[in-house]
Amino acid sequence: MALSSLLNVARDALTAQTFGVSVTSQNITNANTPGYVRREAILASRVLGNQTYGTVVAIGIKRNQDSFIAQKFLSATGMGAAATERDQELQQIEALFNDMSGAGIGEALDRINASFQQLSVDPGDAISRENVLTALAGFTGRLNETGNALAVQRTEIFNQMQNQVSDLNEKAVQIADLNKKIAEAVVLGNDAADLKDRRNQIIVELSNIVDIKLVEGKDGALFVQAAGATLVEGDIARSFGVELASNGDVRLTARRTPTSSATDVTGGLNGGTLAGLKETRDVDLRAIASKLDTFVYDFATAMNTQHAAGFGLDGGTGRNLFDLNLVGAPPDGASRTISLSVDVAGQPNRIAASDSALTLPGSGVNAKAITQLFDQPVLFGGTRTASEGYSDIIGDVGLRRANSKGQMELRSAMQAQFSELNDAASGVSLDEEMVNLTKFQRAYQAATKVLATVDELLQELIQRV
Amino acid sequence: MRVTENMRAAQTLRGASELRNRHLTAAEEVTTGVTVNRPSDDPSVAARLTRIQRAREQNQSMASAIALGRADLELAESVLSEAGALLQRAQEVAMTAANGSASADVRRATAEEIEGIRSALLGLANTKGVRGYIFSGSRTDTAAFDATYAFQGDDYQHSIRTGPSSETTISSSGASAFTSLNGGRNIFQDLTDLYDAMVTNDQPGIQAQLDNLIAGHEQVVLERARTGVNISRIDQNDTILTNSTFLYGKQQADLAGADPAESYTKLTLLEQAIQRSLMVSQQMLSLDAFSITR
Repeated sequence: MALSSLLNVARDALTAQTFGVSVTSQNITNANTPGYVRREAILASRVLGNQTYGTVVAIGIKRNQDSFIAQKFLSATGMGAAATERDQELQQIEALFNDMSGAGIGEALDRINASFQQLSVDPGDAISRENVLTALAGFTGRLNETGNALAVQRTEIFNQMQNQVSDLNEKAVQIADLNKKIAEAVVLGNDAADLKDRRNQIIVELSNIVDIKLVEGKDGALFVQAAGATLVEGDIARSFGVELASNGDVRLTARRTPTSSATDVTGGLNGGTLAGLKETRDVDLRAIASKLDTFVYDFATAMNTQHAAGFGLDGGTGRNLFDLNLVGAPPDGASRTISLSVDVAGQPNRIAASDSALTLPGSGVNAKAITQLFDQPVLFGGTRTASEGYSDIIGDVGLRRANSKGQMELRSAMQAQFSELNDAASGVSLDEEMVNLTKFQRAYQAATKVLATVDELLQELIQRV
Repeated sequence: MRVTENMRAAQTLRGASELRNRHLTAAEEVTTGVTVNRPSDDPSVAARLTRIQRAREQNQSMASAIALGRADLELAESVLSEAGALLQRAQEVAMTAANGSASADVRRATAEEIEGIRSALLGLANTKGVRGYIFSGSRTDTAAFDATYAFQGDDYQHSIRTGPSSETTISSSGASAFTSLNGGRNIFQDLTDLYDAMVTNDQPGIQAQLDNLIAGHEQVVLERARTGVNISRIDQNDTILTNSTFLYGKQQADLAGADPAESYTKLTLLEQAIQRSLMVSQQMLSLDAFSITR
């Protein structure tokens, strides 16, 4: 080999090691970039002709990603997001029923009981009668507040789902666009690593919204399935939507084109915040609101029946304590709409403390009977007392939140585990990059030495000539 | 396994977050003194605590009702005691007048005393308490007897709940004490008849009313005794309510009360753990090949 050829070898070495340093720098720079997959410089020896010696060439870079682990990580992310979202929503619901901090519905029940107890002692006392009305109004106010808060939360969750689906559709369009650019780059023989990283980041964000499955085509384009339905195919993005079914539940739909008919894909929704929101809205909130409505309806009906049997100071009878303006079939909407009956509102003398018109004003028999209702199983089909019925709701809310908290912790742990595995395959280790940097630096220094040596040899030769 | 920067940072973050959460819970336990601060902390205990709280509040409202009802009952007992003394005096006066040696003038003079007793008794029977006229039954807004000594009330017995399954009468019956509505003597009528017999110097008539007065006196004493029994009953129920309220409080403390020593120890241990964790995190995150070799 000619001395001048050795210069070429040194040049190739310098170029290749510089490439290695460049890739290492890129890794170091992106050590904390979300979605970034570490690169590895691929160096190969280049054989020169049919000779037995050759040089080195950087033939490209490799993105180190384990697609199996990556898919697991995305699934775990989706499941974790669903549990976290549900837990956050249930935390708000729990605050509505947190009697431990006082001022709950239980306390309002106690006030009614105590006010009738006081009235039963002195049925003719105007202050005791005012107390009853105040306690009843406090109870209806507290229930309206709770019932409305549950209804508003359902509405807000639906709005939130709409926003998230809109975000999902936007991300689908971005992925389709990146798919197109990546396929074009691959055709031209480029790696398109940066584009893939950007797509990767969007995919991770997407997996927080909905459970997704990925298949990468030979052209580098990703086929994305969301909630079991096609979301992105090549450079085409489908459109998802949310709507209310006839029973009030949320339906997740998919359309092949904006004008095509919507397909219900709700059944495939298992992960992501959308799944967490749907479960909270259509399972948890529905069950809690239904129990609360039944509690309110049964309690108010029993109170009305007993009160109607009594007589007010004016001798009137057959009057209700509560008005129930239901929004559907009983007991639907009872907690939201219950109000103090117009029969007694603002008219304390109409509170029926007596059981007979002949024993006015001193009889407290009916007031006493009303306080006895608090110890009788008049709720939930005659199986629970007011105290038991309400404590059942507290227990149910507590169980749901405890369950969501446990689920969130478990799924977070799984997500962390898969995140570690995924990171172990594709993340940047500064220790490793330090070693690589040193490796390429030393090789570069050695190549420089080769260059200097060849240069010295050539100078020697020139001087002798 | 390769250990990357993100892994180290994430692990540090997770550890710190977990410790901070536990520290927050421990601090809450120390400040509130209870281990169950929200339903999800222990759903079953939370449900039981809710039921116990309702029972406790109901006890307290019954205890308040007892305190409210007791005043008129005690007043009634005192009034009946006075009424009994008046009737005792009436008997003595009647016995004097019934004596065969008593003159018509003496009998007319004693008649005046009987008239005084009748008026005083009317005043007692028309006593007003906290809830109105205490011997009028349900007609608490009407005096029990009018100026003609006619009974205006009824025989309503006012009872209230003094326990989850017990009731106690908090009224004294004017009908039973002073009238013949329940088969007893109409005391005012008997006093009127006695007065008339004295004024008309009717010795047999006076003698006949003497027995009626004794029966009337016993009637008042009996009603006083019933009232006393009711006072005693509400006292017993009040004691039971106080005891069970205490027991409910104890149950609540047993179920969810935090042991201060244990809570503070937990909090202190967690504070130390956080300090150690922060130190380790700092060391871990500053430990890389660049900072050592460069």
